[in-house]
Amino acid sequence: MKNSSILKKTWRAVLALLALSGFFYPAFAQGEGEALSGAAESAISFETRPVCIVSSSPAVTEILFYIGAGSMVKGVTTLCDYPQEAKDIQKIGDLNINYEKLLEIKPDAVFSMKGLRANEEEILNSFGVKTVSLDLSSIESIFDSIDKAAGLLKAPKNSSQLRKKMKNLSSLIRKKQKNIVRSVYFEIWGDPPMTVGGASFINQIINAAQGVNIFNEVNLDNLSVSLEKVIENNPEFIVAAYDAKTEEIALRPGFSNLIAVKDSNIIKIDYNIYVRPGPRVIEAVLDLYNRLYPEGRIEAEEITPAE
Amino acid sequence: MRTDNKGSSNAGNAAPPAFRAAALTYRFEGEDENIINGINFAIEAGSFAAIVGPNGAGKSTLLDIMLGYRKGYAGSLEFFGRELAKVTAGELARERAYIPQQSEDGLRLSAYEYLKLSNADPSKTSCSEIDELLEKLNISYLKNRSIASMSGGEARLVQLVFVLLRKPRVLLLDEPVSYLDYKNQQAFFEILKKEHAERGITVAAILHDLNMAAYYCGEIILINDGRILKQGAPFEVLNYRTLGSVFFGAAGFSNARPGSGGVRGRVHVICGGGSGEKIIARLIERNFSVSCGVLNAGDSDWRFCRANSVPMVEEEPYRPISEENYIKNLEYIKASSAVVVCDFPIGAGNLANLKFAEDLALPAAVNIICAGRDFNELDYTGGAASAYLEKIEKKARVFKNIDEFEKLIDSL
Amino acid sequence: MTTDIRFKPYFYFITALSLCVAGAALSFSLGQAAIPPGEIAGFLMLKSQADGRYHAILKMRVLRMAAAFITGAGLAFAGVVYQSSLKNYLADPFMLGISAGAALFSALAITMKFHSSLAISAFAFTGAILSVGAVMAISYARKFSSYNLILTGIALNSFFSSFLTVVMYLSKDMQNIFFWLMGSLDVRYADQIIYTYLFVVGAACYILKYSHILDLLRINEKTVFSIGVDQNYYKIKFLVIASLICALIVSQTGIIGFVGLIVPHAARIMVGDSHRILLPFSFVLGGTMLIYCDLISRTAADSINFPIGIITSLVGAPFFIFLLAGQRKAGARANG
Repeated sequence: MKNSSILKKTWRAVLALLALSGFFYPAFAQGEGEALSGAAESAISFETRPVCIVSSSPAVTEILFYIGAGSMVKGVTTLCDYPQEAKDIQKIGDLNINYEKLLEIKPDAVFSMKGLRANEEEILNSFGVKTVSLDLSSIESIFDSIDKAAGLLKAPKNSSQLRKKMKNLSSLIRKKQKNIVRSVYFEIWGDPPMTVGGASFINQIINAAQGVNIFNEVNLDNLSVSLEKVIENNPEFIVAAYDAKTEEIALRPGFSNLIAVKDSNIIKIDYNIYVRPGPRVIEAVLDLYNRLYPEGRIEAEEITPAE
Repeated sequence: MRTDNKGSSNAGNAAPPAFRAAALTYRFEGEDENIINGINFAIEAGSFAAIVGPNGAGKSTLLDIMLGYRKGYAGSLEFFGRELAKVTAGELARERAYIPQQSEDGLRLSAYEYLKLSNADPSKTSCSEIDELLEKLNISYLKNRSIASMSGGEARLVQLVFVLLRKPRVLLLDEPVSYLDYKNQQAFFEILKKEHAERGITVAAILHDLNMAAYYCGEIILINDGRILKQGAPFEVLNYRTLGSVFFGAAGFSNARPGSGGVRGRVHVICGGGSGEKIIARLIERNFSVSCGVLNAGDSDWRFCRANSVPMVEEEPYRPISEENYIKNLEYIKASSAVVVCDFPIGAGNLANLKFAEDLALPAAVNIICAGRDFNELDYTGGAASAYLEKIEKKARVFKNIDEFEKLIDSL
Repeated sequence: MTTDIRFKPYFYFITALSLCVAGAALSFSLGQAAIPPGEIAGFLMLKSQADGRYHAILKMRVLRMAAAFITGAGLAFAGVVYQSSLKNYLADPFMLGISAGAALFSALAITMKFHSSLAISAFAFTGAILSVGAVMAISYARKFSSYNLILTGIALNSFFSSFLTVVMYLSKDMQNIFFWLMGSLDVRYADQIIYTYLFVVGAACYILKYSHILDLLRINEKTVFSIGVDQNYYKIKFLVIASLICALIVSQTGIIGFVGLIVPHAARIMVGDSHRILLPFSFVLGGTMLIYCDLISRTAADSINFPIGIITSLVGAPFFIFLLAGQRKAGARANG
């Protein structure tokens, strides 16, 4: 028992540290393996067709399908649920890769998300599998990565349309909400209350949607947050990115005086599109903007660039 | 000093005995062999009985059954005339009390707090009774001390107070003094004996120390292998014949010649530290009347003599032999047909045992038999002992081993 | 160790109570939000405006402090009862499967998208009761003894822990399960706290009434038998009540380890084994310890609350080692 409780304690300590250091948010591990993947990518050439590739992350899968390379994807993770077609593709693991399955597919290259797994590329390279690591740490880098993938795979579609859309959205938002920035408390778990800090991807979405994360000064991905700080910062909106009961949040001690609670601005969102740094990021920004500024609503058609 | 409770067995005819077992049998769950094997015995009310026997004999199991702790025995065990299994826990609790083998190690309760618990409802424990008993046992100073900080002897006395507070008719003790030094063992038993006499409590105790059993108990039950070998007064039970087979193995007895003729003569043995055991045993086997001395109480030869009812000159533990005892010893020697000097270490304390060599008044009829030995190894007096031994050896017949000793003895 | 142990309990009791009051005062006035002393004074004199922002924060601090106290107090109290009933000083309230059961069921709840904290609590409570019930039933069906209970507890604990790992691995809510397991005192509602207090204090008073039986369970088993006390009956009764206290707390706070193990130990070293004093003392000491741990967890870093379980270990372990070392020295002196 002694043993197991020590294990439990250690385990919990590790968990907490992981949670605090943003284990769940892959954008954290930037820069690692840059040289390696660069060298590997330069060696990639897809002269022969058909090309067979594997995606090792849901966001990457979305990108590959977006650029029109979906038919080349012969392996995905069990977590890849978008678009619909991705679900029917051979699975090569979840957060852990089943390397046997992956090698069985004999892919020309594995497309992965930078920083998602500690030594994925190293292992794959040691098996002689080429890897393409996509940097998805910011909205801008998502677009860059889309172009990079499209270029490598000679895919029909690149990020130009997305960039235009994003530009349209940004200028529209700026036009509609000149002097306003709404403050947001973005909660990803209720008990203990967990939120996202300034280093998170979601923070960028909030900024893009003309909001400000009340914890954007904390240079972390995730943090177990002090509710006192929430009350002190008095957010105008509370966004719950889990299946919370909004009434329960409103009833929290001390919350009744928050602007967000008084104005019934506790909103629930679909966490999936917010955490997946893929082509749908614009949908997330638009979604959040429309929730923060219901009076100045922007429809999806308004930002679609004219062909 | 011996408590003789034989008298109380007369009253026992009228009143039922505290315990009466008939074909009592017990076996642990899942085991093939009986740990208690169809035994019959009776412990009269008011007696002070010891249960003795080697390890694994079934003593503790028997006591557990008597305690009511182990149920599911076969045969019958009556407790004051009623089948024990049918007496309720509450009734039992009023009638008997128990001191376990283990002391309450590391218990951070004060003696007072602990003693309060002697009733299932502590508010019923009278504070003045606690005070009285502590006073009576001269341990009032322990009242507010933590049991964990007490010595083994002190903790045991507190446990004794605990059971006395319960005012039991019967007291069951499982090796109550095993972990105590000799002085504390004695203190414990003196108090127990006094309480036993004053309150008429029936006492049944498992004892490892046969001296203690012989000294304090009126009745001894010797068990081995789940059977009762002998029950009776100490001098009946605790002799070399019965104990030998149990404690020392049966081999030594194969050439015993019991009952062949009368006593062949008187032999005084000077020994110590276990050097005399074998010699005394051979002498008893050969129907010699043996005496011994001077021995310090607690010495292993002392225990052996005590257990085998060998008369001896005793000295207080760890004390040098007094003048008085020296003279007593000399008288023993003079009255014997032979004196045997065994192979034992001699220090300043027991040097007097050899002084008889100087006393030339020793009658010529006394044969001196002496173990051959290396003086230097045994002499812790710086030469005094060697000088005596040399004198003794000159007059003595010397044996090198036990067989030679036998021959010497037989030639007497 | 002084030989006379009469005066010690009161000394320690008063010290713990003063520390508790001091901790409460600190906990009330310190936090992430800087609150002007005037506001604090106003709140204390019930003069502050109910809709003021500071009022809300101070109210939250009070609730949180209350939650911290009852959590520590309840776990420590249950720890004492567990240790004495199981006659094992290494026992803690999580030994018979409470934490593992609560963790597993909360994970199941989260996986099934019950994200409301009350719903998760209900699941965790059910899991805790089920697992401790299973441990007792299994060991009762065999041969009831502390030894059997502990062994069954260990087996079920590791089984549930492994099962939890499987659930977490398969669940898309792994992250949220992690969060829950970290344990927290954050979200507390006034009525929730009141009910917890009512139950825990009520159960504690009930056990306190039988403190002498707990004393008895600590001493020689056969001696207790000879007194005519049905030990197993009381053991089960005490364990059930302590488990209910513990399950209630764990279901609300997640798994806060260490308190239930070291506070009872420390309390024994200080005031001895007499449960009449030990139980209330552990209650106060446990509550006090958690108030301080909570204070540290709330104020150590800006905006962040450190998981309370980490703080209890970080603060508790050195303190405990210090106590043990001190005791050893005192013991050597007493023996020498």
